[in-house]
Amino acid sequence: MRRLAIVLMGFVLLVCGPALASAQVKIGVFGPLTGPVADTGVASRYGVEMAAEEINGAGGIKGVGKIEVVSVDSECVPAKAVDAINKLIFRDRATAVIGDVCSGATLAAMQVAAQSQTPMLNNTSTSRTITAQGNQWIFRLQAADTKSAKSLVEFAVKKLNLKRIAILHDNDAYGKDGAEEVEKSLKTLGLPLAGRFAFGRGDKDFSAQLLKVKEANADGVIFWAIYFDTALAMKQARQLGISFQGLGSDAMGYPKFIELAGPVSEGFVASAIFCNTNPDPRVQGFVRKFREKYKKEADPTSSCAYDTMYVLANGIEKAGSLDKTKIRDALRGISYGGVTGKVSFDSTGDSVREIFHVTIKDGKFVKLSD
Amino acid sequence: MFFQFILSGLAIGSLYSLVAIGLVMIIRAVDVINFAQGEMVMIGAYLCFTFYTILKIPFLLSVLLALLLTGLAGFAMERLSIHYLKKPSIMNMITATLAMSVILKDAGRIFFGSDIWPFPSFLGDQAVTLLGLRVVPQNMMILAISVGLMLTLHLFLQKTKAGLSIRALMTDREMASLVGIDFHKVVFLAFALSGILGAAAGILIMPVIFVSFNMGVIIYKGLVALVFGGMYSFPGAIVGGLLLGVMETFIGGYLSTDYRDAILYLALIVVLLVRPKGLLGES
Repeated sequence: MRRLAIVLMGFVLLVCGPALASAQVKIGVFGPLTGPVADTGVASRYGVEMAAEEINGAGGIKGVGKIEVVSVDSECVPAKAVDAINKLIFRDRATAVIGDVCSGATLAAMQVAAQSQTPMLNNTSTSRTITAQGNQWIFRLQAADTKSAKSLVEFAVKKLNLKRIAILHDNDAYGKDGAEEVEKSLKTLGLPLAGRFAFGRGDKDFSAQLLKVKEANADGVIFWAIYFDTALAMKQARQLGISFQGLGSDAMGYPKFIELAGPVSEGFVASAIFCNTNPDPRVQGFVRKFREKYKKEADPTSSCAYDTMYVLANGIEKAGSLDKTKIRDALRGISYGGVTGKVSFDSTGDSVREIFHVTIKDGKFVKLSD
Repeated sequence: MFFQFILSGLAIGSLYSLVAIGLVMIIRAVDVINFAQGEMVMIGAYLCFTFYTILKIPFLLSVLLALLLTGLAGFAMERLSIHYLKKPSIMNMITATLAMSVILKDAGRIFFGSDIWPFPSFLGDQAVTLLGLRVVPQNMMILAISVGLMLTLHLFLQKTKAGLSIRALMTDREMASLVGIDFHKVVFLAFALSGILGAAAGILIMPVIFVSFNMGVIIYKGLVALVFGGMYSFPGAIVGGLLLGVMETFIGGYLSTDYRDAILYLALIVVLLVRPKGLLGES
């Protein structure tokens, strides 16, 4: 019996030994891998994984070790996001985590990050509340809604000379919060709101909202929703014979938006931190490699996820250890130039970066000068 | 504006009607709401999309293949779930379809991916102007085919032996088995048929709502349509769907876009209280 136990223990060590020795830096990724917004969660994971592979290919994080990415599905549901981050921190012993996609899930998971003193980076959530909670462990790399809405409204009014702007948004927190930010920015500029109309996320018919936009004589409509719904709405607007300048949050900066909306997407203006036609060789190299590896087009989510992994790796390298507090402090002062441009963090963990605008011309994104 | 609202309401309503028709088939046969019917819609759409857009098979052949294979899927679904229940109660069968819905949705995501795909409208994406109103040909086609299907199914149930056995089973299960009507045979026929109906719906509506593994959720609108129109009635599916579409558009257009769904479901509760069988409801 004792001999059996020894043999078994030896076997276990043999199997687990190598695993214990190989990857030193466990990075947890959580987001919606299933559910209605699965495409965004998957894009996020791909961006992180591709960056991790590149870093490992160059020898791993200098002075620390190679990265192992562990991912857990959260379905973008707050309760499941908490579950996911718990698993990553306590079961998988992740040094740091990247997640979630939806702001609601991120807000819920952040609290676990703070309690367990684990750095949490986020590449997709845009709600301003994320960095307004006084949470010392969150680092947001995406542009907050407040900033992108302000930028978009200013562009619409000053560059495009629009006078009667309406807002079309979904009923989720993303759409509602974004619409509020747009409304605030319009007020600041002293421009009257032509109308603010909501729809359910996943709705298939927008004729009521669009006919109201027509009635209000709006010359511009700012969409704050996912590209899926906006594409459908733009198509229906054309079918109803309603024309206006379409504008939107960076959720419309996805190549899929152009694919779904088709020719009606021409001339649409979106807020952006990433442009897949940016001639910068680093961006083009990333776009090409991503396409080859995943058979998908790079978009704002995957590109920001890619930069997020690099930012985290740089933070860990700067800290020189797996000490979570040291990593957090190192991240505070980091400045990184990636495929989404240069990014650093302010004292609340919010991103400091350039926000620009893109338009769609001949079926491709084109960066606009401000 | 008023008339455009009506037309747009009818347009979206026709999608709901088409999806609801597939539900009625199984409800009439075995009194069960097939929660996986939405996935039949999804499978039909994905198959046609794969055959036509990816494999470049000619359109009509793609449609035919998609219809047949989804009918097979409906049959397989029944075989793998309900068939094994010994003397299934209605609750058990409904639960089985719910389980299949989850399984099929995830299978769709794993098999086809989590991306969303566009599909060209059959008659072009442009709307035409009729009497000052904008009409999209695809929507009119959907409406026409829904009505056509309804008539065909009505004839099927009334005039064919298979249809008769479905009606017999519904009326009295015990008696039907006494006269030699095999419960399981009828159930499999009903599921295979609604697989085909679901595929037809999927193929017709995918230019309008895009192809995605999650597109089956439109079935819940179909259910609401049936509450309005009558659960056991094919004409009820049509009327209920159109009514739902028009109500959605009117409430959103004249009352409030923010609270549209809340008001709509309030109306639903009122209908359930006042006329639980639905407008064209029979027993």
